[in-house]
Amino acid sequence: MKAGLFLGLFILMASCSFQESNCNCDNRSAKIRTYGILKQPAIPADNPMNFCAIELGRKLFYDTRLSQDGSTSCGSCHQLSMAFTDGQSVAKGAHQKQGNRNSPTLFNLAWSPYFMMEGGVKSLEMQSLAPLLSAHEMMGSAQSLPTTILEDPCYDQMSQTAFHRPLDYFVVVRALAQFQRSLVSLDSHFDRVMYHKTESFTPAEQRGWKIFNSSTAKCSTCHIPPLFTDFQFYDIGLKDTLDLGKERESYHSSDRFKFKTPTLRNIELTPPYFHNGMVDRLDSVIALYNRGGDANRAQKSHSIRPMNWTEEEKKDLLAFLMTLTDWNAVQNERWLPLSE
Amino acid sequence: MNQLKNIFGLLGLAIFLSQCSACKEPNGPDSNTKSNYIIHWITQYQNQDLIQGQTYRDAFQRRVLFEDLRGYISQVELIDNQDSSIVLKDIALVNWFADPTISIEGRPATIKAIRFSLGVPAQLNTNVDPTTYANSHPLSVAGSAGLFWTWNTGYIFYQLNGKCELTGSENLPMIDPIAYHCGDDTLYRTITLNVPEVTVAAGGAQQFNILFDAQKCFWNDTDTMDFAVDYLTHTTGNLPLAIRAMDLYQSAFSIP
Repeated sequence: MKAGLFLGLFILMASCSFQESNCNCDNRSAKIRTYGILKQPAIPADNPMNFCAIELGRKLFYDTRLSQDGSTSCGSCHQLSMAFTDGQSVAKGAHQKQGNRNSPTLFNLAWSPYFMMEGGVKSLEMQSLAPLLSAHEMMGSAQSLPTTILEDPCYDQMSQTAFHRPLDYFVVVRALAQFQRSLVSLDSHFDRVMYHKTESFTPAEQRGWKIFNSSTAKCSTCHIPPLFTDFQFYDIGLKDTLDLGKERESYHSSDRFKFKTPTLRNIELTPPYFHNGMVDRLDSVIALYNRGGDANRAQKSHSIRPMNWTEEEKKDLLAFLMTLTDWNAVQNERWLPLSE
Repeated sequence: MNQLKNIFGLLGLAIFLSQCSACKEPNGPDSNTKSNYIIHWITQYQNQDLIQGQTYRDAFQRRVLFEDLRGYISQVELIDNQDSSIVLKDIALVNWFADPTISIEGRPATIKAIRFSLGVPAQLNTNVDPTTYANSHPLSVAGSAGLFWTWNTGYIFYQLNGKCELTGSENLPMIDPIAYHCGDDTLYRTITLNVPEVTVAAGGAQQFNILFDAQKCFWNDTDTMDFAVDYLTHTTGNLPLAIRAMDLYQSAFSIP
């Protein structure tokens, strides 16, 4: 009897302590881990990084209650094991509603000067608002956050600790932005070869790296290390689609079908490829570049032209691209859902 | 003790002088008394009341209906006979089905015109963060009620959603969509409407009526929307149609 009472008390205490540990959080200021490769990114003055805000953002990121039908969280389309993509051609949101774009990776957004594939959103905070309210994504209500979230004492406590105010959209977008800023992937084989000199390329990787930088291929002109993007917009000769790309934001027809250069980091883990997920495999992407794209338009980038790579060269290029996978990042438990 | 008396004396004199200075303001003794100004938009489609979902006729006598007709108005002000303005409202989100009214107190004046703008001023429309506004503010996430473009950070100045029947049939359902979502700094428009001069005394009230004829959103003397081709603009992708839609929208306002 006594033993049972003690056991019950122990379980009660343990569960209380567990709940408390999820709600209590550390409001000391935080910095982004740069691995000595990049400088600290610029952080908005009205959203300084702190550990509690990052944890709050992590909790919100995986909370399906933010979507209209309670089915979809940010983490539904941005899954850690796939470098925060979802393996789908285009994302599916609440009520299984299909969007028209491929879910992009969320790694290294802290250094991105603008967001969305046409670059129309200038801050990560505002980018976070888009999927929450989008009719193709979470379909959240602009009128208010769900009651179940507003009345969640844990959210209230974390919000007060991190932002000194109750949970609202102001807090939600800032916490989500902070969590996403904390998602850094700079610990790949490539990084250990190039920046830390602790590993070496295999011969195939070395040849692939040479092709990547060659004056004929010019891959590194747009996919500039270490982020492997130049954040510019190009028409790379994909087949016509209804998606206007950069023109949607700029109104200039010369920007039609131009999309922001995506990073190549973790490219191995993020199929299918391109803005609408039209290509399933990485070797097919290389083949597409090798034939100079599938469409010729006036605004198409001059860098996209037939390359005449041999089968061996294509394999080498693929081997190099595989060096950009950061296995430590995609298994980082701090970016998984908080355990309940 | 004498020093203390002097200090109190000077303080008293200062208060007396400051009160007298207020009495001598150019507008005289009525300057602190306000007048009540009301601006009321009468919304119609030609000469009928504008009602959501009701059937009207387009320029080609085809059936058409409105599902949503909203927009931002900003810098609503009265112009007096000295060309000075009395600002009544900095920004509001207006549902045109609701016969909107703005009522506010302002200084007494002789009013000769009403001025307001359609849309959100550039300084409030560029790189904005709607989460920084209180929920009751028309530019907040909640207050903008879907008129904030999250993919491009800016507001929809004018949104018209409707349906029409393109074959001219009187029996087929209206299923052809119309969507004009206009919003860009270049589409911001200012309207000045002259009114017969009226002097509004302190403590007095004056209502000004403005007619919003929604028919002119579809055609006026210089342009006509043909919904077979002119049915969709999100501004981007079809800026020329957004400009035409905004021009027509602007022409819908007049003094009755």
